[in-house]
Amino acid sequence: MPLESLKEEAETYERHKAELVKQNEGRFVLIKGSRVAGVWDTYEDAVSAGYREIGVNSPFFVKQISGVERVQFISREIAPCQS
Amino acid sequence: MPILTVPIGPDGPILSLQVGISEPRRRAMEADDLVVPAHQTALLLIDTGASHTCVDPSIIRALDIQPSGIAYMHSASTGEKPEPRYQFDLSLWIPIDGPSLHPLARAMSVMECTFQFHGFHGLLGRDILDKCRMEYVGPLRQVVLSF
Repeated sequence: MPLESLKEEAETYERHKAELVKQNEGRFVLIKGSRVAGVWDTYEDAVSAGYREIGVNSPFFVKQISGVERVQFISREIAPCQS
Repeated sequence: MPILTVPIGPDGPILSLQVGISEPRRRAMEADDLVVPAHQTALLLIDTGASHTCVDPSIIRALDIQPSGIAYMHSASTGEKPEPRYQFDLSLWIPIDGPSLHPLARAMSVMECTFQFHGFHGLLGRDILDKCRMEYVGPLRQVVLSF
C-alpha cells in the first residue's frame, strides 16, 4: 500500500538510521522533509517540539529510534486501509 | 485510582471512550487561535491480541489531523509481509464519575485501521493495557480495568 504523505520523511529516517541508532536508540526523532529536527526522550516531547517548531498545519514525522523495525501485531482480521 | 467496569458483549469487552487530538497539539492550536476539534466518542474493543491501539479512519477524519508516523503491522489479513499504516497523534480519555474525563494518554501514536464492518471503532491495545490492571470476570460478563 503506497503511503505518499511522509514518504520523504521516512526516507530521511532510513538515510540517518545508522547514526541515530548508534547515539540515540530508544529515543524519539522528529523529521521534517529531509531535515532531522532533533531527538527527544519521550514521544510527547518530540511532538510538542514538532507543533512548536513546524506548526499544526504542516505534517511532520516522529519515530522511536530502533535498530530493528518494530512490527505491530493485531491478531484479528483488519480490512485494507483506504488512505 | 480510576476503576472502570466494561460489560462483555457478543464481540467482547467494548469500552466507550473519548478520542481527541493530543494535548501538545491542542496547546499549539489554542496558541494560534485555531478552533480545537471536539473529542469523538469511540467504541474500542479491549484486545490483548493487539500490540498497538488502532482506530477507524472515520474518527481520524472527524479530528481533521494529518499523520505523524508510519508503523508496520501484521494481522490475520496481511499475509507474510507486514503492511505500512499511518499513525496519528491523539489523546484518549475515559469518563470517570459522570462527566469528568480521566486521561488514558495525553499524547500517543495511534494506528489507523478500518473497522467499518465491525461493531466498534477500533482496538484498545497492549500499549494502553500495559498501564493498567485488568480483571476478566467471566461469570459476571465484565472486565474491570484499574488505572
